[in-house]
Amino acid sequence: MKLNQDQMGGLFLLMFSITYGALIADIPTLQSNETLTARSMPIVLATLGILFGLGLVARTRTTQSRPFAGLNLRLGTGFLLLMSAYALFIRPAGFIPSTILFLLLGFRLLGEQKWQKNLLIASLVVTLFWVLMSQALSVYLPPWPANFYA
Amino acid sequence: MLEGIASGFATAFTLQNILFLLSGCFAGTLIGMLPGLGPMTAIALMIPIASTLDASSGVIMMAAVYYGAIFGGSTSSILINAPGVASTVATSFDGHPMARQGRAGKALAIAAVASFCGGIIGALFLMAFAPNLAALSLSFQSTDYFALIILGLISVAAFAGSSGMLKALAMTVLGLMLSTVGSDQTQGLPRFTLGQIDLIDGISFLLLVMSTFALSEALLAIMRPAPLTRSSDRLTDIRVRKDEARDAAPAVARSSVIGFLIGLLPGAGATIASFLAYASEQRLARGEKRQLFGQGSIRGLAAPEAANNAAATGSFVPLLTLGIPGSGTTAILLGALVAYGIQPGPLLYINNPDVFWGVIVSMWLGNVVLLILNLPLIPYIARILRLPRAFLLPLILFFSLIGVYLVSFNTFDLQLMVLFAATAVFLRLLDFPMAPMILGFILGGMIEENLRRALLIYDGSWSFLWERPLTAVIMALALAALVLPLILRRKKP
Repeated sequence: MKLNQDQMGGLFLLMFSITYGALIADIPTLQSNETLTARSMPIVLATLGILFGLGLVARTRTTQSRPFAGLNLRLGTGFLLLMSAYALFIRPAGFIPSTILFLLLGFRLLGEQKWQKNLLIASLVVTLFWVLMSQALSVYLPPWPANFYA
Repeated sequence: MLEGIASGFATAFTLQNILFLLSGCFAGTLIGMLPGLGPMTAIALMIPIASTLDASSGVIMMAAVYYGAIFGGSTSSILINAPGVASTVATSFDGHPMARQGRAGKALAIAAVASFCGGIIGALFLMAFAPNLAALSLSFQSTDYFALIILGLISVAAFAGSSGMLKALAMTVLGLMLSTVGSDQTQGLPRFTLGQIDLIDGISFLLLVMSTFALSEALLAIMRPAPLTRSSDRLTDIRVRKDEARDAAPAVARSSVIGFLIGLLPGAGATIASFLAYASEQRLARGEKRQLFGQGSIRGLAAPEAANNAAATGSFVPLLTLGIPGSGTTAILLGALVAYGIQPGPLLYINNPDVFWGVIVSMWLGNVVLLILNLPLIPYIARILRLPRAFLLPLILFFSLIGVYLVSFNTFDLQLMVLFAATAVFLRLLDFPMAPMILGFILGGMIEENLRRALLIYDGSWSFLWERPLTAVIMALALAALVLPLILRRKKP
């Protein structure tokens, strides 16, 4: 069976709401006479989410059937991995090296071949940003790896 | 009162204060443009400088920073779809599509003029009605806030457009669900933290908005084939045609009034004002003009811009007249005033008339200065979009990630952003709107808190929904907002 756009999204929301609903059991409760407990709103929301999700799954109207056609999904995934790696390295590698590398790889992935130009732009942006933050706005970002200072 | 206004002008019109006004507007605009640094951060950063000045000059400078930062936030919202603060989210709905169509200069000019008008109208109201309005805003109880938030949430139907009400409502619920992650507000019990200590404080608004707007927008642009033509020459053109101005003017006037009135309510602030103004303009628009909403409508851009600036002015009413800060930003301002030895409240304009009227007049001047300062800069700011795609897109990703990192210094937040961005791309490709989710997320905490208070006041009974007239009227409006579009749609052949 081929799902339309609404049904695909509805299925996602349905699964999310069911998981959300299942996790309500993990919310601890306190002995109190309050009408509204920590679980009350999540219960209402999970119910509404499941109802809306089912409503969308039940929709049979025709919508665009291939929403992902023509997209470079590999490039998108590459950037998601790059951002995730940046998150992993920003602290141990320091702000300046990790960000320059992030930008260089980003420029390269989008087809910019001249590495000298890329390096110049990346270094300039990162240095200016770091100076603005640490000197002008007093927001300190450790620029180099932690053991660099040892 | 006229005497007060005259003394306000005398205070604000000194060379020294005009210089502080100018530098405050400029610094605020620059800081506000950086994703993650909104008006609150901008004002907080200025406190050390302001503390060296006398009270009037310090407060005048901080008010200028406030307005500047709001305008700066709109700039990043329009150009790169990165609304750094909640109040500029609605600006991106039509501002960013205009920028993508090569009308960035015009979008920025309209935003600047609409903000100016909103600010000026707000300041006029503030001058005329401040003390009376403060008393009115105090009469709002938790029950009324609860009803007002329900009305705000139901107005998502207005954002639904072609993608449908059911999708919009489902996304609102998703936003509300995300808002429940973290410690429960009353009992402090952890909810949906999955054992992660990083989730105890919940998901930050900035993180969610940056991933679902800026990151997902950049990722979509990365995945789509590169456009064959470079951005148009109209990019830096700031001229607004007569018919466009005529189209936007009534929307600006209406939204300024809505914005100011919503801004009076402590806690409601510029965000709800901008969303409600957008929703009401979309409802008022007819035919083709309605279809344009979400695709670069001038009214859709002007309305939230006027409303958020008018609301920013409105939020000074409870601060100056009652000493109650209506938002995080005004709370910082309250702290600054107290540090000067000034206690805001009913006696402020008796004990410190120079500060009271000086601030009010400086709002007026601040908006004029902001317009004069920013209009000539717009063509240069808009050129950001002329950067080649291979440089611009990774830079947008960097600024979005670092904007969030600078607030929490937590790499877990960055990983969460990647996850949310991937999900947002998936949902956006399926034509699910992001705005209702953000609105649900913003209002989620407030709805629970106000409902809990309302139930406490009414001893656990839900009778406040029909017993309290103001609540009942707002609830009836909410119901009408939900049901009327369905009835009207059925009636259409």
